[in-house]
Amino acid sequence: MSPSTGGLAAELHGVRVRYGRVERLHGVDVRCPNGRVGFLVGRNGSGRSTVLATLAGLAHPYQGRVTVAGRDVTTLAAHRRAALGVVLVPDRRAVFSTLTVAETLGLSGPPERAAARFPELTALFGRLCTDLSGGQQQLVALARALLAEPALLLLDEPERGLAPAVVARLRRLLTDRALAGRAVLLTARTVPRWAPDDALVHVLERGRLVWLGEAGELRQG
Amino acid sequence: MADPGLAIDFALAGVAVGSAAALSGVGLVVCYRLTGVLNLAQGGIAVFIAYLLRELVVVRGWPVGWGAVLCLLVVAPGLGVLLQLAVFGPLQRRQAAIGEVVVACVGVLVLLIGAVAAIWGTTPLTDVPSLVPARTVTLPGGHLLRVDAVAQLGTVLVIAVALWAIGRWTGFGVRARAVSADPTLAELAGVNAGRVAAAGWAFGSFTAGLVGVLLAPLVLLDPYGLPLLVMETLAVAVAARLQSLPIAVAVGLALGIGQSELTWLHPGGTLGPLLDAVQSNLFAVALLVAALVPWGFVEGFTEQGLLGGGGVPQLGRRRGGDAGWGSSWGWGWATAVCALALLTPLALRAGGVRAVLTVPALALILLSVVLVTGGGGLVSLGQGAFAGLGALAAALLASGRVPVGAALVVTVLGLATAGLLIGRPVVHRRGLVLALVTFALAVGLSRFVFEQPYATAGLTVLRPVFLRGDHAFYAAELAVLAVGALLVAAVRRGRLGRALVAMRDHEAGAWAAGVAVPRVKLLVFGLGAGLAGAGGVLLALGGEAFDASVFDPVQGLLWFAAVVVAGVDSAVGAVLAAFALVGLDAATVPGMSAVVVGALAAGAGRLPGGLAGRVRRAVPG
Repeated sequence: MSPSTGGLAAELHGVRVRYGRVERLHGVDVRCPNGRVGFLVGRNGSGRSTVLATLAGLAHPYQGRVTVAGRDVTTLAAHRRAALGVVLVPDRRAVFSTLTVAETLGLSGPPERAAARFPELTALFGRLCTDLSGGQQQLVALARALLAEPALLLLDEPERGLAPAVVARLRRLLTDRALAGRAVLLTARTVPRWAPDDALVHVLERGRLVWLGEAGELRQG
Repeated sequence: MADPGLAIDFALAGVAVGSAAALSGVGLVVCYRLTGVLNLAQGGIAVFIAYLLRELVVVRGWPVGWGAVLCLLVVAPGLGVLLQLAVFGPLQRRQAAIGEVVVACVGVLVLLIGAVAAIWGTTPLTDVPSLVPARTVTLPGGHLLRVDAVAQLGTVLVIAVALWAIGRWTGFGVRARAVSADPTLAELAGVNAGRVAAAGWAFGSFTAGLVGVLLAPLVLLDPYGLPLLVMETLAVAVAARLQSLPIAVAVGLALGIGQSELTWLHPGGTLGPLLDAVQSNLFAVALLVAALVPWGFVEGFTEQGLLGGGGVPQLGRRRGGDAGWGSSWGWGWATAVCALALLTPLALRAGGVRAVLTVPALALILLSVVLVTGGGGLVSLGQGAFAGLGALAAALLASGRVPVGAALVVTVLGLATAGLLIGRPVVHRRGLVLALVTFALAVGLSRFVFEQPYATAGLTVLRPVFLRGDHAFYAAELAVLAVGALLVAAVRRGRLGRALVAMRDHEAGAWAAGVAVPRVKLLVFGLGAGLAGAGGVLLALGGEAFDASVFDPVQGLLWFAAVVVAGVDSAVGAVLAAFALVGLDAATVPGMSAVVVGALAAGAGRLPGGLAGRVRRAVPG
């Protein structure tokens, strides 16, 4: 399926996920259409991160299905899903403590290409990731994810710690990706002002999907 | 002092052992970095490969070269990959706690040693083939240089440099380092962490096999000596903080050469035997020192890697929402079965009782593991050593004709104090570091106290007159065991028990809730030492002798594994495990219990909560 023809990059069908004895998702449907930015909106503990983990293959549902580009990947391991183009940036400091910035970026592509997007990285290439500030680490993690040219980019609260100028550039990049026919799914507490009107918004509450629609609908209502 | 030229000769002689130790350290460090598992099974792999090579070359008549290629490049890495697929992969996938991983390692170790003993017997062998013929060349100045030592040193250096280059310059190396830093994140970046771990195990097994093949010609080859020797080289990896290859190589060589130089000193007088002990056990000393030096400067050591920091949070955690670890089930009919099993021997004839005299004593030692590890979440591999101290103290006191009741009380109190003292530097450590420190203590006590003539020569243990009969003694043992069980029950139910559960489940949370964590840990450690010591006293009195081999560190590992297999939070399980250990060896051949526990422990990944956990799930309520 070519990305520009529409269709779904990934989908959750009635997914139930358990961590230990606690059920975190009680039968959730999530759609990630190609060519649009998606949002997972909800409070802390509503299950946003678990949805991302389920899409990326870190959490495995005991009921329901996960599909990527129409293919059932429910039991596929995380690294195989990454190979299918599903890339997650978790909300913690998602860098490798023993790798340099250049080596980290090199895991997903030529580091120079990332520097073209984020020139501030060039000066950091030789440094160890743990020597960077929190915002710089987040930038490295995002740059690596973008370098992988993912079919579906999953970002958990990506703007935390970033400089305002970088945030603006990131938003532009994400919107451009969507325009280029790729899918992006972000978590947020509320739908941000920059979200395009056609952004698909999932509102989660206590592990259930309570509202699904476009950002524009929310704004009119 | 003799002439300085001699020092050089001794240094050259130490290179052979030193490079083997360095190699062992390199293998352990790489395996740990790639898999998150400290390969405690290394000694087992080493002895297995050494025996296999001897079988091929000496018995089957293969050329040494082909035998070495098959053993080191095919069998050993294959064994490593098998371990990853069958044992450690499943543990990794469900993010098992450190205690379970340690137990799985011990299981593999015990299984391999048992297999070697079963296939090739336990007779020490001298006709072990060397990879490189032991020729010497004369250096300028008249020093003799052994070709094999030079070849070994060269191998170590080549392997270390090659590893560094692979990690630095190749794509696989960078991916492997990513896995060692954060396996989950590496998976998200598309790296197959399982494959990297398999490579780590393959390399770890290869070096283990090579160490075994290199060390075997230097010692008598038997199934028990070589594994312990290899395990003492843990010191090298511990000194390198499981991180630095250069430090591992340097420490390994330094220890080998240092050991060789100490033979040259050889002082007389009263210090002589002690220094001799240090010389022949330098690696044990190094292990103790390396483990006890604070680990704090390794940033985030306990937090990073696959293992996490805490004790055994998932071990035996109940699924049913019962907060305590002494549920009504545990003290219901299972206790009745257990009590019945313990009381039955009293009805037997004298010979029958004699066979089970060790059961209550062993049960006490296992109960101490339940208290310390199951209750406190502290992975202590040193309970066997406390039992040994108890046995030794009982022997010393009994030789001095102190009444046995007084001996027991004095010993137990003394041991609880010793536990507190030893515990002080120990309990501030967590997870893998704590396991290592306690194992090092066990090795140290075994090497420098239990096995030394100056501590144990000429000890006679006589039971007092009223306990001479086996029935009377068994009844007395049951009384002590009952006191121990009541103590554990009291700890579980009271305030201390709640503090323990809080500490085990979430240490930071326990601090925040006002639990004085160090004091609670220390208290539990001291109580555990007292319990184990009481068990040791009973073992010594029961056998009417002090037997150092009973308190061997590997034996302590086996006991720990047995408790975890039985269910680490189950007191009933501990008592039944004691029966099983004694019964299996008595009913079949000695060592059978080790093989069974080893097999079950290696499969610990598929048995969360141990056998007791399985029973609990099967019996609702």
